[in-house]
Amino acid sequence: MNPAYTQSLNKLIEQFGNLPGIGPKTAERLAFHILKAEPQEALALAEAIRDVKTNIHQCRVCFNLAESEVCGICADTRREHNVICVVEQPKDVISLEKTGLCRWVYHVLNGHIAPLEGVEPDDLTIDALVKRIRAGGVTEVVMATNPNLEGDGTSLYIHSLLRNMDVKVTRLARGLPTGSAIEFSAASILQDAILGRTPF
Amino acid sequence: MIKLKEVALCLRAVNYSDTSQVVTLLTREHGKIAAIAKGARRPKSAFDGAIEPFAYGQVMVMISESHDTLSTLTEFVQSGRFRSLRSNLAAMHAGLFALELTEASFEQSDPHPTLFDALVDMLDRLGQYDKMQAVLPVLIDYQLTLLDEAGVAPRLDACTNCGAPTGSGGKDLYFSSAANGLLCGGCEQAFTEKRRLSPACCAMLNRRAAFTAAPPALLTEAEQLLVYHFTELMHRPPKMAKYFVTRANAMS
Repeated sequence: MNPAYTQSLNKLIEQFGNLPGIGPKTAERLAFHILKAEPQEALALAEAIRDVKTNIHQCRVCFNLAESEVCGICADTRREHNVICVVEQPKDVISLEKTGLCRWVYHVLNGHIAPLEGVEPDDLTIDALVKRIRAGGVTEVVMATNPNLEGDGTSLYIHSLLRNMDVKVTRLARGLPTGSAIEFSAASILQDAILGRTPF
Repeated sequence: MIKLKEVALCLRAVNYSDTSQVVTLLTREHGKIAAIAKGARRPKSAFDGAIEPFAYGQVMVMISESHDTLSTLTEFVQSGRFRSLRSNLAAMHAGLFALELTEASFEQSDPHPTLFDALVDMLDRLGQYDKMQAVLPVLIDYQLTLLDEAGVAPRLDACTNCGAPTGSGGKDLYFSSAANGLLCGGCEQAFTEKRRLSPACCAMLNRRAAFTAAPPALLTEAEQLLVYHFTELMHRPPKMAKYFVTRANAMS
C-alpha cells in the first residue's frame, strides 16, 4: 500500500493487481486510467463486472456458461443434438465454436480427473453426462479433452463408462498443425501424426 | 554448477507459471532431481513440448553444487517410449501409482540404478496390458522391488519378531508395518498395529514368479496389504491408492 495514494485508490490498485498477468505497475496504470476516465465509462466497467457475476451461471443441460436456464447452444434447435462434444472448460467451447465447423452440442466437465492432485471423477459433471446419454437420442460422443495426461485419462475414464452403451465414442485428431514444418516439430507431435494418419 | 547429461524419467510435473514447469526427474546415476524447466509449456521449447509424468529421454540439467536450490533443466529430448500408457486406464493408473510411490520413497540425489531399471521395465510391461488383472502382478512386483531398494523390504518368510517359520499350518497370519513383516500366532498379540494375511497370499508374495498366474482375489489381497504398508510408511495413504484399490476390488 502506497501512503501517497488515498485509501480508495490503493484498494483499486490492489484489486487490479489480483488479476492474472497484472503486476503492481500495470495495476497502478489501470487504476489511474479509471481515475481519469469519464464517470459513465468507469461505472460501465463496474456494471459489466457486476452483471457477469450476477447473471452468468451454468447451463442446466451442458454446464456451459448461460444467462438463462439453458445456454444458447442447447436452446438452438438447428444444432445436431445427437452429437455431444465433451470439453474440460467453457473456454474450450468458445475455441471450438470459432472454427465455424461445429454443429453439435457440448458437455462441459468443469475440469479433468487428476488423482495426484485430488480431483476425482465425482468432482466433475461426468454423472450428468452419462445421464444425458442414457436419456437417449445421442449417437456420438466426441472427446475434446486436452491432449495431455490428465485429459487423456479423463477421456479414457468416460469411455470406460460408455463402453456398454449404444453410442459411438470418437476423439479429436491430433498431430501436425497446418502451416508448421516437420523439421521443427516435436517428437511427440510427430508420433501422434504418424500413428493417427488417415486415408488420403 | 554441475552440468549433468543423463537418461531420465519424469515422476511429477507442476505448472509454475504460464510457460514454466517444476519437474521431478528420476535419473539412473544421480537419483531424484527437482528442476525448473523454463519455457517448457511454450509450443517451441528445448523440451519437445510440455513435460508430463512418464516423459522419458535424454536430459541436460544444471545442478547447484550446494544442492540447496532448484536445478535447471536445459534440455529434454523426449522419446515417447511410454506413450501406450496413455491409451489404457488401468495401465495409466498403475504407472502413476508407481511414480507416486517412487517419488515419496527417496530423497534427492540418492541414486538407485536397479530401481530405475525396474521402473522403466515395469512401465514397458504395463504398456502391453489393458486389463487390471494383467496390470496388478506387474505393479505388485515393482512395489516389492521398491521396498527392497528403499531398505524396508518386509520379512515374509518367517515371524519378524521371533524368527519362527510361518509357512505351514494353514492358519491366518498377521502383518505389521511397525515390525516390518509377518507375525506368528504367538507374537501377534504383542502388536496393536497389524492386519490379517492369508497363508495363500503370503506364499504368493514369497514366489514372485507365481504372480502372473495368481488368482485375482490373491492379487487384490496382496495389493491391499502393500497399500496398507505404504500408508504406514508414508504416514498417509498414497493418493492413487483409493482409486486403485477400488478397481482391484471390483476385479476380484
